[in-house]
Amino acid sequence: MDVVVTGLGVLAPFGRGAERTFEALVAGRSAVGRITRFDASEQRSRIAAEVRELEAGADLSAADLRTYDRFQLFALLAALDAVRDAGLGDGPLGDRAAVVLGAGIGGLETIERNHEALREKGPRRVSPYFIPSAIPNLAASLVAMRVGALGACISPASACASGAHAIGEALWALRAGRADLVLAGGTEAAVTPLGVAGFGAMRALSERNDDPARASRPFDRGRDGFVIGEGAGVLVLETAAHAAARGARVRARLAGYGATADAHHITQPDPEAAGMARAMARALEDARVSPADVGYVNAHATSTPLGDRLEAKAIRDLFGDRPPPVSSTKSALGHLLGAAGAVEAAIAVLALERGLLPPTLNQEDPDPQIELDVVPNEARPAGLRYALSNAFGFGGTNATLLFAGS
Amino acid sequence: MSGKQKAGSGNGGGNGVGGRVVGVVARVMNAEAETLAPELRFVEDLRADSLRVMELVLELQEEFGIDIPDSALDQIRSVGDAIEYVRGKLTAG
Repeated sequence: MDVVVTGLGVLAPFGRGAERTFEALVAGRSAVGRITRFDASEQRSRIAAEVRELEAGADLSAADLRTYDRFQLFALLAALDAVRDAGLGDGPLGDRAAVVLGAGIGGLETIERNHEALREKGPRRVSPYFIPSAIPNLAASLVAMRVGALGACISPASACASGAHAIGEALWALRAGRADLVLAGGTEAAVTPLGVAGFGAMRALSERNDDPARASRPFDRGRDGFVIGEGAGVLVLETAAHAAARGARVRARLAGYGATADAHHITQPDPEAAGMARAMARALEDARVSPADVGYVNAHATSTPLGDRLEAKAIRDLFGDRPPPVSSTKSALGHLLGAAGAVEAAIAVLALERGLLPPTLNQEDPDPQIELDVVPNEARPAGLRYALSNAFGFGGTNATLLFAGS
Repeated sequence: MSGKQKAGSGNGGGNGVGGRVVGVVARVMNAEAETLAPELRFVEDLRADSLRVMELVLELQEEFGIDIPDSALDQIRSVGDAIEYVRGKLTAG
């Protein structure tokens, strides 16, 4: 059973709108800057790709802004945009509609704020909204409430692969006939003192603090860690029959999904990169597509020394000597953690639609260990039928999505 | 709503205890302060759920530096109740 993408919603550091994000990417802009949301002066990494626009308006009330965590608000906006993009109207979506929307962490800012209240003022000063605003699945639930989706409502938590797993699991649910339509994606808002300190403690973040726009440089020899970002991405997925019956515009087909585990280490990827390669291979097998038909890979590549090299190895192991063009849009967007896989899935759909590959920025000193065409620095027109999008998470969890042009 | 008894004027002035309580209620309940007549009840009239009422109690404690025991919740069901309760607490304290 074919599953199609009929709506895209992205709230990213470039602002609201999937097209807006894509256009900024192909223009070669960077969303990375100094951290403004808190005093980061003592952090190892003092740079981030922050969402700057989050105001009360038609879709969010002042009460929403005061009550819910940013990761939940991001998800609401992305989901509403996706629903509108799909032409679904304002009515309830009903019991054949599901929400599968993941987060890697959840309401970290909420946790920090309430812990501060606990320590400074005691347990009776913890907010009654602390738990609902902190737990990861409340993003999915708020979306379900807003759009009247009465089917399954769940939140995969697989770190930086959460958004991609959500989309892949939605594909399986649609094929199994468990729903006709799924709002699927991921959301994250971990640009907080504790979040940045935690990733910093692992030495996972770039410390190129004086040059934010050039800090995220996946595949480049000067890469020194990822730049943390925040945002949300949501796709409207439907069975092809359901989309056709309501006359929906099909933006792409979600053709395949591969999910694997390294079963190797809590944070380090398997040095053989076998789990990554198997995720990509499974996605292709799932769709009965051969590697030669893939015209673009949106890489997970976060700009860490080891991770990028291993993903490049996995791509070479699967595709051989002539791999397709590969770019990492994290070079411009930063790493949106649990939202990354979903936002990058939307980017892959737009790349297919427009026949245009977004570049990998900051390619100045190619790493000889990375034998890939990384679409350096400038967008490139390309006719393509299939695009892969990779997302890998701590815990050694890997997800690959395969999209086909409509 | 009658509107004849405005919270700010009917309960002792915008900058006094009554006005400050109304300000907290307005913020928590996402309502306009001038519409918050004292007889309005949080749950029935302002459509607050139980979490919102708990949040209101928390914010009143913060605003006035007082403790409001759970046993007092039954007495604080409306804007006027809240003003009266906080005034009593501040007088007693």
